[in-house]
Amino acid sequence: MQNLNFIINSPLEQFEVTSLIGLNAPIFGYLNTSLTNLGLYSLLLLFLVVGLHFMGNNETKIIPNKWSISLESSFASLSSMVREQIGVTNEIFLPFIYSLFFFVLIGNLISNVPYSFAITSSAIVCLGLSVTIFIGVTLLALSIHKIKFFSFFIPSGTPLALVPLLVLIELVSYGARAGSLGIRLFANIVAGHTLLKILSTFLYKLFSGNLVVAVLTLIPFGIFIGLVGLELAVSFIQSFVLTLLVCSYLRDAIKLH
Amino acid sequence: MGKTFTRPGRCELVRTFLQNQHFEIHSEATVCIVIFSKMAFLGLRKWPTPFLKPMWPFMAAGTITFYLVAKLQDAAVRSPEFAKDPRNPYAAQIAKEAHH
Repeated sequence: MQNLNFIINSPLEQFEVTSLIGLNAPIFGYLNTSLTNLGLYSLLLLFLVVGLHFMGNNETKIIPNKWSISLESSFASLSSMVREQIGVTNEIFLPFIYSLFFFVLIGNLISNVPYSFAITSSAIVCLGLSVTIFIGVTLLALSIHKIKFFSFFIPSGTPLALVPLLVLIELVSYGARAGSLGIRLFANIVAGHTLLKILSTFLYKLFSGNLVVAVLTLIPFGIFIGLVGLELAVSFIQSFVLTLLVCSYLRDAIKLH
Repeated sequence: MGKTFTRPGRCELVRTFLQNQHFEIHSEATVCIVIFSKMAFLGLRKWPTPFLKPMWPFMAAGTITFYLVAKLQDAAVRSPEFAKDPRNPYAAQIAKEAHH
């Protein structure tokens, strides 16, 4: 019973993927289709991103609304980031970077709503995304530079004797990109949400006590509100960092050194 | 050319607009590009941009990742630890296959 109580109150329970509607049928071998909370929030994210862009549509108005200004400002920032990082001649990657930024940003922001689900706290989403980007960038580099791509693993001016060692180090460092991109996002979101869950449970217990304790608890509660703000900042920072790194990987793939 | 569009006479309108703005019309294509850039997609203006050119490596990568994740899932649901787990939706199928 004690063990069960621990499972229910676990701060990691919020990250559990559960099936909301499922279909099990002995067709196509054995078909199992489920709409999980992860799937539901992914759909919600899609509708929110599309809806946000509809609200920000400034096609028929002379004076833009606030949504429009915020979207145009985000577009300008991302556009300058792409031009600075990947180069003016490679602006064709802007739609990809823009979509990626809004996918991660809105995914992170939805997760800050109490009792919602954080899709970016799912290892499979983050690692799937980072592995896809890693393979994509490698394919792009191979298609542009062919066999010369492998010169990327030998920094210029390396003495011949050190080449085998450096190639190994560079290869490991390059391969680590596949995981690091996703783990950075996933770990930040999981850590932040777990901390908020633990602290809010503790604060709830304190607020439920006697009046003096409840009044005194307002002080840690203020700090907690600050932490919620920090979590919102993390949502923005992590989506920005992810897109910045993808830009940097794209630059490496296109320009090699 | 105008027949291909839902609103006839649009080409002429654009042509007049371009001429009024002192644009040099090189060919019919110039007019069409303007029309296409004004064409709506779900009520939004469409901004033509290359899609396949920047995205093909990521589409291929997505396919590879999908295959790898599917293989990983298959291996995980068939692992001795989870093959008989009541939460495993494939448990019945795995048990059935084990009998054959």
